[in-house]
Amino acid sequence: MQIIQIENVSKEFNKSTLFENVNISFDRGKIYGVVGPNGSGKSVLFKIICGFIQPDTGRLNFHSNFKQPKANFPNSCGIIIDRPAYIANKTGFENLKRLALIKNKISDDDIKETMNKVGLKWNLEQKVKHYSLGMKQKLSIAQAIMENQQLLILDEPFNGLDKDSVVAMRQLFTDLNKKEGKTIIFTSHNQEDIMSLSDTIYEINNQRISAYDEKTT
Amino acid sequence: MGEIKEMIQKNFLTNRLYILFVLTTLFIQTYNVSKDYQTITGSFYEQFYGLSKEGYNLYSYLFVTIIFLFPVAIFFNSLFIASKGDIYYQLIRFSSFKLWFYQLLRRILCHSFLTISILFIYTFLLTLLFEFPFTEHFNFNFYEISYHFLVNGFLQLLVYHLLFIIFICITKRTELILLNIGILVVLGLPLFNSDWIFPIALNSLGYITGGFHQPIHITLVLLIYIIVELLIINLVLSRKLLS
Repeated sequence: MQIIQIENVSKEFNKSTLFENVNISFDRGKIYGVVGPNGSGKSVLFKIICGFIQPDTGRLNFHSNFKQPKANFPNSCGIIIDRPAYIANKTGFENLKRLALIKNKISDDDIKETMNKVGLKWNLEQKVKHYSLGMKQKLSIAQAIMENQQLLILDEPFNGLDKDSVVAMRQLFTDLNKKEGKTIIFTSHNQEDIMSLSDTIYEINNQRISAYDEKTT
Repeated sequence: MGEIKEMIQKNFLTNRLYILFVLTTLFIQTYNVSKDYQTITGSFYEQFYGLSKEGYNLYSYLFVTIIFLFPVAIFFNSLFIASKGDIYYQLIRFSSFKLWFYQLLRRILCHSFLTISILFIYTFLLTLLFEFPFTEHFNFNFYEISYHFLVNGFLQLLVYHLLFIIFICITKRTELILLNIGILVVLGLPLFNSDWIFPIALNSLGYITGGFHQPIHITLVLLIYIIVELLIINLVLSRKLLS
């Protein structure tokens, strides 16, 4: 089932063309890796998919389960955009709780369970400003998955993680995909992350986005 | 350079600094209230005189604009800057910009109500502390002062909050909050704003004397500004320009 179809999308950013007439699609239950050089527009593409930025031309079609006709943003979508984001003087749990209260559909226990899943101690009194980059990244991953989001759009989810954590997060994403059928779209500058996780890889190059490697799983 | 900017933003725009400023300046001002105004209503009037059609005092004008603009700046500082990009993670949990804005509006209403209430109660308690009598002045009474301070002060705070949102939507720069304050303070000066083109410091208690403006007239003006601001924000959000 196709959940996102990008049709003839073009986007300029700071007076330079990032993409021109992009036509790609994303199917449910698959993992997509997006690669491209720095500044090629991976983050902009993610922001367009999330609805934070509008394309100059073209359109995005979402499956009705994933976006209401008049909505700006897809529903059931977990994201990591730009960088880990947090309120510095709150604990990790407080940060997640604050976000969870917006939809108010998960319990404190769900938050604690998610923190355990990503390797963070939920009862740590440490404020996030004292977290290492890797811990902040894990917190970002936790907020992206804690509400059982079905579509995960993750910009550089492995940034700042140590070797063991990278392995653990890869396993977590694989489980979310294989066992729970979640769709994951992610970027990474690490070829190994891309190759080991992705069913399909899209490459942004010369203002085009194309699938350059279709793997069978 | 980035760290210095972050440090200035964090340390300069904090609730604690603002609260300290309010506590000390209002205390000192109450202590130094002119002899003619050493009553409860007179103390309110002199401290929040700001400006009027009859004239203005620069210190009083700056005091009234800053004391009402800074809590708004602090609010947006914590919302956009201190949250370090957290805004995306909030937005994605709403289905639209408008729903996000309605939730923000609820917070703005609470914030404005709390701010004006605390300012009123603290100023009132100071007048009791200094044992000022409850004598009415010949050209304004307590109810008039209270209405203008509370209702128009609340509406003025709403106007400032919405102006900040429009400013952020136009510039797409959340870190220019201090510049925003500077622009509003300058635009509110009578030199530029004799006909209330810009809704700045209309809650100045100076406006209730001289018979030029009734507080209810100012309420209507502020309400019109709020409606216009909401229409602008609605337009901006409908056109999905907030990115």
